[in-house]
Amino acid sequence: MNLFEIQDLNQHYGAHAVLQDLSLTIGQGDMFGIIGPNGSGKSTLISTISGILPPTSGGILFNGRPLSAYSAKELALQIAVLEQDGTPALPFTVEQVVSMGRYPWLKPFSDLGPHDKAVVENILKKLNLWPKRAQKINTLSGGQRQLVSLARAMAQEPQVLILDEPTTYLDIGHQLLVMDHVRQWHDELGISIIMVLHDLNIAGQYCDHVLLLDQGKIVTWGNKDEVMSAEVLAQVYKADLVQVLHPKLGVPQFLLSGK
Amino acid sequence: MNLKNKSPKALTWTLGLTLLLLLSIVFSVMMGSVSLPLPVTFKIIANQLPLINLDPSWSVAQESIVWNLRLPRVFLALIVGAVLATSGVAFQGILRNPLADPYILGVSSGAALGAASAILFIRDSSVLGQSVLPLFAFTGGLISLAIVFSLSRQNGQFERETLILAGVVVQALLGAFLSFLIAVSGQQMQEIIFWMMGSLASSTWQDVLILLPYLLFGLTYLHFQKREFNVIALGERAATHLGINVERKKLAILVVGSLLATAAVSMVGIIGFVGLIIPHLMRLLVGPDHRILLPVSTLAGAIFLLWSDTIARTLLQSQEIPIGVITAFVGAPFFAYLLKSGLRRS
Repeated sequence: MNLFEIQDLNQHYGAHAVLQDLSLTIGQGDMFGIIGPNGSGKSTLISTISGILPPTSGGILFNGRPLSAYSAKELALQIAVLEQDGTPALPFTVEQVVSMGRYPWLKPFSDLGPHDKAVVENILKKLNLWPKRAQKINTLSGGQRQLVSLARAMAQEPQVLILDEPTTYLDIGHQLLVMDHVRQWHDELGISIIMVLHDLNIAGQYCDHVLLLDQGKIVTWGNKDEVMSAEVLAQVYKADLVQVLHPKLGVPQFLLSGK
Repeated sequence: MNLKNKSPKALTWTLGLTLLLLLSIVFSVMMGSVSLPLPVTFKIIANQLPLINLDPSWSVAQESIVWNLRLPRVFLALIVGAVLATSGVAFQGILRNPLADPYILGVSSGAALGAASAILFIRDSSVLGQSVLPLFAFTGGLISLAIVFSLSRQNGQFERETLILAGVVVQALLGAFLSFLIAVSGQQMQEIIFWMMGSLASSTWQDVLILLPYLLFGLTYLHFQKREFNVIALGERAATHLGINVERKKLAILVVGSLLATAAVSMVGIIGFVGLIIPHLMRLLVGPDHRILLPVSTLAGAIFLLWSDTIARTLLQSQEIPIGVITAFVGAPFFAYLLKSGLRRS
């Protein structure tokens, strides 16, 4: 069974069509990347498949069952979402924020149990956040805060992790740190990862399958090596690109060549 | 209450404030135009508790002052303070707006218009007498709440900004009606204005009993939403992804919070500042975690309003000061100090 089966999906804001006739499948345990220029509908697609935005028309099956048939709570037990703007700079401590990831698992009116606390502790240690657990997140850098957001998503123990541009505001060190954790998590637990990415080189390095969107329509999707060609990307992004093979990893990478 | 799961900080604050609350009750009852000694006050109060039977070593007048005059007023102050502060925490939490207070959706303006209408048109010509005023004020508050909700509803959703703006619009409109009524009210002008400034004078046990169910129901409901408040602080989308039906929760919390505020206003008039500063003050002291913030704000609101009312009725020999004057006079500078020192720390 596929993780997501999307059939003739349309998403309109008023008269404006943001997504048009999208049909694709996302497999179980995939590292699935969504790329495309600004305004191509990437974030809208993410909002739609995470259940926050009901589609204007078309069908979405999640694990074989219509997405609309799931309650918010049922979805929260299976899908964790890392929003583009991450966690707001609040005076909550790192541990408090990560603990909130346990919310869907808690019984009504009860607080974190021993198991929940163990899960949180485990994740904090794994992401090297344990020494910072009592620090308030409004005192952390953007990169550290993104790690906390990732830790919160991990505390949710989902089957699917959806990330909306997880590396956009990060320096290269934190970009790799976040992505390496995501991949390690994917490899160890076999969970599915769906992520919107701006950085084609990150997409080339970390994704198995890629969907390329342009102006709300699918340009192409499938195996990363087939989708990511300099010719197609240059046309869609309207930018001159040179494709090279990563000398160490053997994955497609792109160099920008301005005029 | 599950004490085992509570952090030591939460426990210290809760127990400390509860103790302060109990002491405040006794001291506040002692104070007044007739001051009573501590042992007598204590014995009169204790004698009213079940299973305690003391030999009366006090006069009937003293007992009447404590039991019929001061205690109902003390309890009404506690309830109103608790209600306003708790609903303030709820509003600030759910609207994620530091300027939010229990009156932000216009219930106080609606209640004031209802009260003014009762004073002008109904009360003098009615056999119902005094009881009409709270009923009219409560109805006025509910009507304004309904208008705000119907104005801000879009595609079945209530955006935070739209709610707040709808509250502003409704307040402005009802304020105009109210000003008009006051302008043409003639000799009843003073009564309307005094009602609007808020007062707990001439409180009875009946007032306490009318307000008590709101307190119990509203507080119980809001206190069961503590974890939801925390998760919603992360943002509405994040909360949805964590399994909360945010729109439904938001509506329920705003309705309950507004009901609490409307009930309080219709009994004692518009007492400002409590619902705004107590949540901020406690957030600066104990942090943003609603599992601590909500209960300590309830207690602190009760204590704050009790002392404000005690000052209001004892400061001047000849007359009472409107309690709204005291809450603002004490609250504003204290808040300014906290704001300044809080900003410097972070």
